[in-house]
Amino acid sequence: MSESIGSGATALQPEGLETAAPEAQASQNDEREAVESMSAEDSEAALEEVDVEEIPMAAPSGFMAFLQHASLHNVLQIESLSRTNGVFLVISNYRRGYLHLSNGELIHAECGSLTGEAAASEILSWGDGEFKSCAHPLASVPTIHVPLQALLLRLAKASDEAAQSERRPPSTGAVARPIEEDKPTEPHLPAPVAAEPTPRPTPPPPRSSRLPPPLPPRIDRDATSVAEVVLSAAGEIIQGRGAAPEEFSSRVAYAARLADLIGRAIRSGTPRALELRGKSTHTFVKWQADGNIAASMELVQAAKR
Amino acid sequence: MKSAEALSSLKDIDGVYGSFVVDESGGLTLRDLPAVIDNAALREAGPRIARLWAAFPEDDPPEYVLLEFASHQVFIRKFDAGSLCVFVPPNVNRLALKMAANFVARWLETESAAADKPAADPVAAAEPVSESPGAPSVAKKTTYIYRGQRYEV
Repeated sequence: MSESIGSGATALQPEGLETAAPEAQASQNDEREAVESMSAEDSEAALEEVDVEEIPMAAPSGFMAFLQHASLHNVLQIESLSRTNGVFLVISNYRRGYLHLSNGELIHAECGSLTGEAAASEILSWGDGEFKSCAHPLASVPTIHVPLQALLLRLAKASDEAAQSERRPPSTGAVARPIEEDKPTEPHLPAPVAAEPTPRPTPPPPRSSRLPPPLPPRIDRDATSVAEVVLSAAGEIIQGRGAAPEEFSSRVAYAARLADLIGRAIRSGTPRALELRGKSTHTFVKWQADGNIAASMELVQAAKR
Repeated sequence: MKSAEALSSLKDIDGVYGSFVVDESGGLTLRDLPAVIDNAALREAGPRIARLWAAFPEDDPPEYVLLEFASHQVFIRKFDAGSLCVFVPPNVNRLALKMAANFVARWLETESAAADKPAADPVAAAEPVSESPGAPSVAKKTTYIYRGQRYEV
């Protein structure tokens, strides 16, 4: 798959179709090392000479797309949804990076001297360019352990915050000054005394008479477990204890199933835990490593004076 | 305050990624989320979120649901006309989040009530009836005929 991203993208040549020959793959590592070892000063000029066609592309199968308004995040999500295994070359303004996808998850990234999450963050911050399959071998050791969806969310949030801080007017807050500068402006006041070498325990500040007396510690609520169940993945009760375990199990199984479907819909995977808080009950559901679901319900008593 | 402002106020809580709102049947009504989560995903999740409240006991009105995933959580707060869903990191300040979600949920309830009122009963809206206890009642009179005489009571 080969896609051109963003408004400033150049049209792609079908270079991958001609250069997928085995001999091109042999010179691939030398070529990449040469590109990555370039200094920052001469990289721009030199990279212009590096022909994209020399990078071995993936075997010629599937469609090529030229998407003018797609972001790299969108394209990557498509590949993620397709559970793709492969390496993708990303080129943007003479910069290039590699994204390694295994079963749709981003497991490794390379960009110049950066690898792993730092490289992925760098590549995913690029606004436009080209995104191509290439014939690099998939990294055997994953360097990224964060789910792709979480990584994209984090980057989107960082981008939002950066944009927000740019819109914000510059801060006019006070500048911290060294204590030596904290001299009195009035000549009749004494200069600040230097700090004593041995710290002395300071007593708590006197409480203002205008404030009400401190409240005594009070327990607002008392939670007690009233039902506990362990369900198998098929919904059978493995263990049950407390009041009406069958009815409680049914509700837990239904909630767990819905939570699972919600997780799949928003591409967040299987939930780890679920908490259902009502006015008088608090239910905790936990997915266990063996596939079973453990749940407990507590009664939440109203605050008493 | 506009809807977008109401949802973006949740981002005052440190770490909040964004939020969306579904109505009682799970239809997507509002969103303030990065584009990485598309509307199709939210539309698919919406009806399940709406049905999640059925998992509560009948005599226990639901307050919120928290879904924990590997890298983030989804805090879902029920309100009269739907559910407010907030994407948060695991280390979010839960108390502050609940307060902010309460504030937005109340605002959404007010907005939906205001939107429903004219459509539900246009006549009542046009002719408001005083509900103060001291006001004279405008009860409908009933006509009786007793021994040939007409009486209105």
